[in-house]
Amino acid sequence: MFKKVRGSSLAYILILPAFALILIFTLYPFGRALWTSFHRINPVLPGNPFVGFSNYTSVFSSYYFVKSLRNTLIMIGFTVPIITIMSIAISRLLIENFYGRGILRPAVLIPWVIPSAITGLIWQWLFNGSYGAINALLSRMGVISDYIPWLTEVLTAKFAVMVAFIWAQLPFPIILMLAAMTAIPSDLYDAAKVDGATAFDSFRYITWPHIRTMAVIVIIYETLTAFTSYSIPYAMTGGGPGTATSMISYYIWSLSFDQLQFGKGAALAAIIAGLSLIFIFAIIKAIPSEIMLEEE
Amino acid sequence: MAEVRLKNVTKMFGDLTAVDSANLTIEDSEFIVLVGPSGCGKTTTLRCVAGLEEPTEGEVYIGDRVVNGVPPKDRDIAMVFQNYALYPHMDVYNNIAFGLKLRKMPKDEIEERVNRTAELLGIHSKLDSKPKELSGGQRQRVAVGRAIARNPKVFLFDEPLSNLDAKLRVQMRAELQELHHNLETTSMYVTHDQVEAMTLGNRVAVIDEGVIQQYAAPQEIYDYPSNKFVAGFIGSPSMNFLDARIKEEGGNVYVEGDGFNLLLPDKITDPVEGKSGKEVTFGVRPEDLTAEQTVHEGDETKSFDTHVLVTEPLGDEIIVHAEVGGQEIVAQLDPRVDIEPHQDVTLFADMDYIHIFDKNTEEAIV
Repeated sequence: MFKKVRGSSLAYILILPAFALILIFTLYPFGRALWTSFHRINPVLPGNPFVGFSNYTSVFSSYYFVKSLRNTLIMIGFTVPIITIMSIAISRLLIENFYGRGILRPAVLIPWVIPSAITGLIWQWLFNGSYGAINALLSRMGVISDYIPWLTEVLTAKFAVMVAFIWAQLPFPIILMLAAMTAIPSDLYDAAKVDGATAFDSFRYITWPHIRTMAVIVIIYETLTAFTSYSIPYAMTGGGPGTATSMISYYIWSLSFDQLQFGKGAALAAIIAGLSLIFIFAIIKAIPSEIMLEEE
Repeated sequence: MAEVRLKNVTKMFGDLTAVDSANLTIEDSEFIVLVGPSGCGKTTTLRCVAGLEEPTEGEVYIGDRVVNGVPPKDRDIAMVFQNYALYPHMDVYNNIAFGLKLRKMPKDEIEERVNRTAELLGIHSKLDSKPKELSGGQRQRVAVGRAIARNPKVFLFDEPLSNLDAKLRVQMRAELQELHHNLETTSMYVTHDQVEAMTLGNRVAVIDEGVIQQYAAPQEIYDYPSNKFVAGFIGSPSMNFLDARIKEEGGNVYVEGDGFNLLLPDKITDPVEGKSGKEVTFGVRPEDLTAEQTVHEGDETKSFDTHVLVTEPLGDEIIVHAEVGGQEIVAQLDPRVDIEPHQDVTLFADMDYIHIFDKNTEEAIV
């Protein structure tokens, strides 16, 4: 029977299962969400009338949209560069052969295996204003005299959420960077040493050219993750104080499932998807083309 | 240019002794080769000279200076690596210029040196290419060029030709020889290929298990291997080793084994005289065996009666694998002799070039 199916038809048959999964779990929901964003959907009212762009305009003009978008962008602006730089620095340390590396390397992955809602709760406890470990530590070290209400002040709450987010996000970029660095032949470093390179020269001329493509991937990935981050801020602060740590993805949830305005929620989701695309293109555009074109 | 000297250099990795008290002097402008099987410590020895490894004990001298603890860049050496180790993101020009730039050499001098080196190695048209656009031979030339451009006191080569195909290897070998002839820079060259060792080295150090077994001119190593390891490692096909014992009879000294009883020529009997009955290993190179059509009287004291197992005709020679008294013997013969598998053949040994090793210590006796 298989003999009859040849060439391209066999290829289509073989990709069919994968395509079916994408169709059911990605394309259909996406299309359905787009459809929803152009209709008014209310579970208690009959009918789903077409409303054009009115969901979009109402989302755009809402105070909460601007506020949460701003919070999200601030979060991206701080956390993504820090995560990228820290993942390079930590990988650079972990690639060295030192005593205890066997324990430290897997330990770095721990944040990854903790569900993000739990991560949020752990950090909420650490940053707690009255019994949090961070306040206890700082006051015992004599750095602060009064406990800081981390999660209930605007600036410190933003800071605390970012710390937790960075902590939770670091493992994956570290793995990517470690993989990229492990692939660099050690001969190159030996050759550079003989040529007279300092540690900084070695990093600049050998390590960096080998990992910069990966750095771009990390930046894109972390930007998107920060853009859709939801559970850590929500578990730590519930978006507060006020709207200080409300993220845009939390707003989708709130519109859809709190206020049951599915059309507006879907419109916001579509807007975020569009913005994400713009982000990716902007990042790729901003990076010299030779980096993206490199095979190595 | 400078002399390089290793004095009791030992390198341990944990419990493993990679180099065991190596003593080696490379004279000014000499080209020496470290040869041995993989894992024998030859590369580690080279890396100790480069400064990429620190010896656990002993001193490394470059010129009159002890360089222990001196970083590679301050040793005035240049190294060529097995995998070329070209910087993949730089073009050929910058690969060669990199070391010069880091040394803050003026720009016009760098340019002059890179151009001169590229001219010398025939890679001038490739200066703008990235390493991945080059063939294996061209990459190797760039790697050599990077070393030459620096004009160092010592060249260190770590198996530089082992990634090239056989034909290119022969060509590059000749080029390296010519290069050394022109530059006369003191050179240390690591290889596992005995042909490279024999052809390139003014002197060759044969290394096994971290110990220098013999350090001498190539021909001397071939003619007078100091022990069984060196005898078996240098020469292809390898020397034949047969279990035997010394026998004295009627004022003559024989070396006797299963299926042979060879009379030792007078000039080499001194070291074995009075050692009748001593168990030894008898060694004869395949190229020192011949097959004669006619056997004369008395010939049995210099010949083996063998049974041929396999023949390998190579055109210019024929390799015969045969059996004598249950031990294998390989002979490299004139291709025009008519020998077929499963035939009985008498092989003659050139008794002036035979070797006898102590069976226990494996040191050469004759």
